[in-house]
Amino acid sequence: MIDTLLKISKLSIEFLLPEGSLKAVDGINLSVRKKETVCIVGESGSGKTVTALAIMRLIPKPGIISSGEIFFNGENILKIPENKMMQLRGASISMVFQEPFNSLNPVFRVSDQIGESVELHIGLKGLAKEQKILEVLKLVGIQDEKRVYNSYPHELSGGMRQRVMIAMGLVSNPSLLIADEPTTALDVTIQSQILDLLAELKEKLSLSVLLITHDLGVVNEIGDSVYVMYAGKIMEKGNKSEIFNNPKHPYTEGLLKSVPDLGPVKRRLYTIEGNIPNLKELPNGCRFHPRCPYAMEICKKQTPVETKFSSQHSAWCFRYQGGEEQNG
Amino acid sequence: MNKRKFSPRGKVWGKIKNNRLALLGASVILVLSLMAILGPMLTPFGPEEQSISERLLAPHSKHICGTDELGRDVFSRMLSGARVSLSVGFIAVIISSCIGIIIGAAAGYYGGRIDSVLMRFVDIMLSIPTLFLILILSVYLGPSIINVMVIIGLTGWMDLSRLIRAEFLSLKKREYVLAARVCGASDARIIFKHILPNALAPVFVSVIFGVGGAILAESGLSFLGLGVQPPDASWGSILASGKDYIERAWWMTVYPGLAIFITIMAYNLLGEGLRDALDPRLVE
Repeated sequence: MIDTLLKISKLSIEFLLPEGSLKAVDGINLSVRKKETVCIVGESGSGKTVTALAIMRLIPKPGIISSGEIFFNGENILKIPENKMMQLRGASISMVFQEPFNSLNPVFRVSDQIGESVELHIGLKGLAKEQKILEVLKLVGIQDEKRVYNSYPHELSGGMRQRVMIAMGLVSNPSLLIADEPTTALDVTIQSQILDLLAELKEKLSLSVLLITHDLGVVNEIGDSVYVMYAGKIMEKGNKSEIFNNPKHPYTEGLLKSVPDLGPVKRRLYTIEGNIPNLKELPNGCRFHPRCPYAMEICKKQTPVETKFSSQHSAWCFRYQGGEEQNG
Repeated sequence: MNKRKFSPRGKVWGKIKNNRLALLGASVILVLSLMAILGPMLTPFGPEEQSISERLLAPHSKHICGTDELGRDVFSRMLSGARVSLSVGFIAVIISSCIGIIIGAAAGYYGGRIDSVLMRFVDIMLSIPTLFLILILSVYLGPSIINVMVIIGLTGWMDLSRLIRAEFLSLKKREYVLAARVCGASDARIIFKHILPNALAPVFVSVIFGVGGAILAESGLSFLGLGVQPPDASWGSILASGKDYIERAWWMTVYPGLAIFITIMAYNLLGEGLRDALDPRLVE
């Protein structure tokens, strides 16, 4: 398993609220190999972002990692001291956020924003630092890098800002880039430019990307393997073609059916009935059963276990489990 | 179409430029500061130069603000007093701003128990009458101009720390703070480099008001004899020595009183103009 870069095993994240603890993420397993793009797909509130922040060890209070392990390059990063973690952040693991306007400090020029990472992690100063910044701006496809270098965030367009964010993340040559809905706030044409850029950079810098999204179009464009998350649990995982062509879990099926198709085909857009459950009132058994069109009696009582379809493709659903095993 | 106009800084300057009272305040402050700096060059008399034959002279062409009971030129004494008052104002405000920023930033950024402890400390400080505290401290520390600066600085930071705390409470949740943390920035770096520059607007306003307040406090202390000691002059101490002669020599109280009044007024006008200009909720 030498080519596994990130391995999350049995990770649970709880939020300790005065009225009790909420399990936002419940025992998930996930792994990212070198040079792989892994997508986590799910509705809002399914625990995608918290999982990403857990990798950074930056879960907002009152959240805690209640159990599980996160291995990065073979090292359990939940066990290393905070100052070592600080060196890892931004240097080996970088993160890009959803809203590029809010993620750039309004009082800093682009040069200062990116320069911060250069100073902290590469230790360059002066002219060498400037060179490095201009270089990385060019790398993320900014043509007039000299102008952008001296610009404040409010002088840049949304797509530009997202490129700057990506430049900030990449300047220290990380091995893992976590992108949390990097294209959600952008319009469609810019969105595909940014995705192309991510795909291109991934090849150029032999980067692994962990992409969090609710947009299956994005997954289709750049994903290698896919994890479908629902209410803090993984429902199905597999490589892209397995998930898109042969979805096993009813939730994945629902998600795929609710993507609008272009062109003259006329059909009513499918929606999955109901909403994602409140974490305070999680249903018993399979968390998806109240919205599942195939729900059976057993789904209300027991939690499904993994059913393997191939080396990568698995789903957690009773439809593929022999009923007799469960009764015993 | 000049680009400056659309930058936040350009906008603030544009608003101040249209506020006549704020401009008036700023120019008065500028003139006063110049007079304090140039001081001795503007008058032929030294502030402590006595002339027994010229005691209690009413203002005339030679002594434009008259002379005091020892025959000293009141205008020269006021100029040297201006140096004292203005420097006390600035240094006291620097001290109180540093304390206010550090306490407010720590309370707002860390929250929780640190916040409660610091804010209760602020409540305690605010519930002690400031003048009393100043009087007690200055009796305890002894009257000297350095002590006055320190005392005024130590008793004037609470409002600023509350403002800064409020700013930090909202700014720390911004995504760029998370982005900085993701880049591996330390708490200190985030507080001072990433959040503080975004929280500076209220600091500017509070500093301007603070200078006025500190000058007023210094005048009060010196008037009570707890500030600068004779023969040094400050506006408050000139006022104090003039009060005994108020019937025979009105100029010994009216001129330093006017100086105090005009200065405080100027700082308040500028402060208000700046506050209006920096407040994004006030749109013309």
